[in-house]
Amino acid sequence: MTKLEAIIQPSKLDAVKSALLEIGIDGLTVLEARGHGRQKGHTEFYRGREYTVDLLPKIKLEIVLRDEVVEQAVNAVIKAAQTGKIGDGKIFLTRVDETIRIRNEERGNNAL
Amino acid sequence: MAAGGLAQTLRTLYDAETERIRLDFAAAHDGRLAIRRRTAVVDSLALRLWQEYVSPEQAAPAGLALIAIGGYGRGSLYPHSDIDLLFLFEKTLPGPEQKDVIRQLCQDMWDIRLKLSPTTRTLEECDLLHRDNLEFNISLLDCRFLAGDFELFRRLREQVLPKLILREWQDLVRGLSEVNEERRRKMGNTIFHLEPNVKDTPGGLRDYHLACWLSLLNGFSRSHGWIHPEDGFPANLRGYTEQAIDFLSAVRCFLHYRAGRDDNMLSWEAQDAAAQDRIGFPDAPDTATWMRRYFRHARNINRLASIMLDDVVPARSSIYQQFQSWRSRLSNPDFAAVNGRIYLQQPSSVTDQDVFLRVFEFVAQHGFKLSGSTEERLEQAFPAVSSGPLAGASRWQALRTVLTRPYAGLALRSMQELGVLGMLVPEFRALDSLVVRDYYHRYTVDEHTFLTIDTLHRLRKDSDQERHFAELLGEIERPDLLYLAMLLHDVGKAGSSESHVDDSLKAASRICADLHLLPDGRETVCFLIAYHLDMSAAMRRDIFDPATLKNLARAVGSPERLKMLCLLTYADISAVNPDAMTAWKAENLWQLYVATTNYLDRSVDDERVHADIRDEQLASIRLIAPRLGTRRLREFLDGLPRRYLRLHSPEDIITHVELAAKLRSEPVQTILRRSRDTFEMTVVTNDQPALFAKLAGILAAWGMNIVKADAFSNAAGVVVDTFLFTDRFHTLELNLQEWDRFRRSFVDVLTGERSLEALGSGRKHSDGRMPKVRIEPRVQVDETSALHSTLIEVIAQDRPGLLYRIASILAENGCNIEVALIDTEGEMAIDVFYLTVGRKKLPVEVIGKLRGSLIEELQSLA
Repeated sequence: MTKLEAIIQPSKLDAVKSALLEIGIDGLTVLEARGHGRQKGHTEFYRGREYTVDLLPKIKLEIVLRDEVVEQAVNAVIKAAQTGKIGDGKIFLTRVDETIRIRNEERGNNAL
Repeated sequence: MAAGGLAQTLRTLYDAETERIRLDFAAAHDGRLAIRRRTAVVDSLALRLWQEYVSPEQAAPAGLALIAIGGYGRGSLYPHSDIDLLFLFEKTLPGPEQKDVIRQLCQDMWDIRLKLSPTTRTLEECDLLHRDNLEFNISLLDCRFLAGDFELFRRLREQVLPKLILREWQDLVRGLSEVNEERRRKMGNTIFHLEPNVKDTPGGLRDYHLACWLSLLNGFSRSHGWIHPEDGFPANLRGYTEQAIDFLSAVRCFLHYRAGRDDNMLSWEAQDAAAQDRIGFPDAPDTATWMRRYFRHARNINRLASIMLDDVVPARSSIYQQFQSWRSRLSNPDFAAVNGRIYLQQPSSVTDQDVFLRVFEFVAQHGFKLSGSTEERLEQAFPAVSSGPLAGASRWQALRTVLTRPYAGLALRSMQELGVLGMLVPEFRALDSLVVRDYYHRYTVDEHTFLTIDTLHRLRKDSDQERHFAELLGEIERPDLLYLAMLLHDVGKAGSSESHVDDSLKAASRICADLHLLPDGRETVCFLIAYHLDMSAAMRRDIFDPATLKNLARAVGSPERLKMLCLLTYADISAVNPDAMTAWKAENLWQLYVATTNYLDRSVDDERVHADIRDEQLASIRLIAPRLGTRRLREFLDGLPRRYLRLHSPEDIITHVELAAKLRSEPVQTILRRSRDTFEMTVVTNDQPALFAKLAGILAAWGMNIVKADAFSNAAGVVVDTFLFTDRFHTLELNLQEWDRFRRSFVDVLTGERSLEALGSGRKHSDGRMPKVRIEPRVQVDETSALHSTLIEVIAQDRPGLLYRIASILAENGCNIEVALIDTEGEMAIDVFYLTVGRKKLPVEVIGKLRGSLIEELQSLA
């Protein structure tokens, strides 16, 4: 099993969710986040005050996947979230040792 | 009988009896009967086990009693409720032998599959206040003898508990009140949940229990003895309470049977099933109507608990008493405020429509609830009052007064409950307890609406909460229109079409006309309703994308409307559910607001009206002045910034067109108007060098303080400059004859008949006031935002004559003002100018010189 974590633009959340649903992935965790990579943010002025918008709004997705669908899921996220501009985000993949469904203690792929 | 065999036998008996109760409930839906019967079954099991393990005699042994407490003690065992049992010992806790007996009895009850919560105490322990386990003390209020030493039980009920209650009355009541507050807080302090919990949500069974406990405690405080709890309820609520408890008992039984466990959540699926089975409501035609019945009962229980709390809690708290006493000084000849409740000084006075409506104004102003007797009087007077004539303007006046007061939400809830809101705005009748299923929304439509209004008023009270939005609220010119838009923004949810926004808009347009709102007010309210989802939608896009900002800015048109829409969006999201407005979302909304404001200010010069403007955009103007030729109108508007259309009403625009037509014979046209605290001067004339500086100079010469201004010009060079100013020396306010001289001075200076110097420009009219805060002057130059002009933003300490000094420097540097947007916030002047030289952006050398001159001038003024 693999955990896919994706940092994406908030505006791309609906598109990414739909793309994942299309390939049969309907369970995911969504977190509201702020941050920046090479996209350093910008400065706004309001009423003579300066606002440095250096931490930009982002969405973080977390999904644990069966190994055989990981590549498909990565492609779906990329296709839905890509604009080609700085700030599109990143995908991180990590190995997961075990998954346990709390309700009935099922384990492994069955618990996903 | 062998111990295991007895448990098995009793379990079979229990299962059979339980099934009979369930079948009878399914047939008759009598919840109260079902819980009484289950209590009786459990009583017989407990007694049988007592005889088996403790004593063959029900009334023995001495020194030990088996007592039902909590819900079981009240005789209210719902199908899957826990069973609270007290093993009461006279002096010492049980030894090993007695412990074994109790263990065996409890073990068998568990084997029967009863959810038993046993507790073992001595009489002395029952005499203590358990601050960390107040629930135990409270559960003793419902104690009921089952078996054993009756004399021991009698001592508990007749001696120990009365002594404890009278000694610890204050702590018991305070503790009960705190537990209750915490429960209500967790439930969002409202009964109007789309999926309520029939036990714990306000208005649920727990509130009824609370009222019963408070009634018992109150009874002790007055008569030092036990009373029947319902005898302590207000007489006018007893009938309603009876009906509500019949209904809620049936619903809770239904939910337990349906889930097969202690589940009290009235989910959407459960609502459908209950309505279909007509639980507690034999004639229920559909789920929505069934839920309205639920909310009606919940309202009555909520009202009962609230009145009981108000009656009991303050009586012993000295701090609270002081507070209440202070509040009571707010009483007036019509209303008295006593112990946080509003009473009528003359009970018959509410037959007068004016007094009837003013009571809600009093609620909205001071945050007191209506007393039971006042509610009763209002209910009685309502039919006559509502059938009497009430002009639209008077209804708007009554509504506006309530909406803008700090506790508007409280007053509106009372008005909705008593049908008064429906009297003022008939569309609200259809919203009463309306459930519209939506995954994110937690409350009924009317409650959500009241929560949006609460949210904004809370911003005013709690300055630390979302400071940005609180500041914005302070800047709104017509908060009454914002609150009205909030009241009506979801009124279309009772409609049948797919878009509630369209339905709300249609209804709002009708309501605004019915309330006799002026056209600009109607337009603002309708605009806010039509676009109330647009900022939320924009937040789901890239909020820094210029296309997103451009679309939003075009839809909104003016900074004032953007402020109102931003606040409406903030309140609307916050009122969806308690977790909906996260800090993340609030920050995104604020950033979207700032970016759009900047876009609006920096795109004015590029967003201009063209001669081919669509007919529908002129419709509202043509509607008012059908004789005004379309060609004439188009010619006048051609080249004016789009913001001009947003800032000026159709009536104003028509006046400007007519004044522009007179310029050939009289080259300077003026309009002078007075509003509540300010004057407004509009000058329509042909452009000329340093025009704006001259206008600002004339106002400075008269000692006027410019608060806001905007300057626009069309393609033909006709200028419309509007100044909002305060009359610091009351020149115009006190001397009507000065109005003509004032207007004449504009004509004289602009036509060259009189010089500005002769008028006394530059004269420093100081009122001697020292600034409260010091604003560091700043000059910002933006060469990229506008296509054809250079944008200069000047931030400085506001002072009389400031605009004249700034505009003069711009003129001295050869700059032509294409557009000016002048604003004041507190002591800060925020002036934005779009400048050109020879119809082009400013050359670099001019920018440098201009910036230096402005900074030097502003620093010399500081």
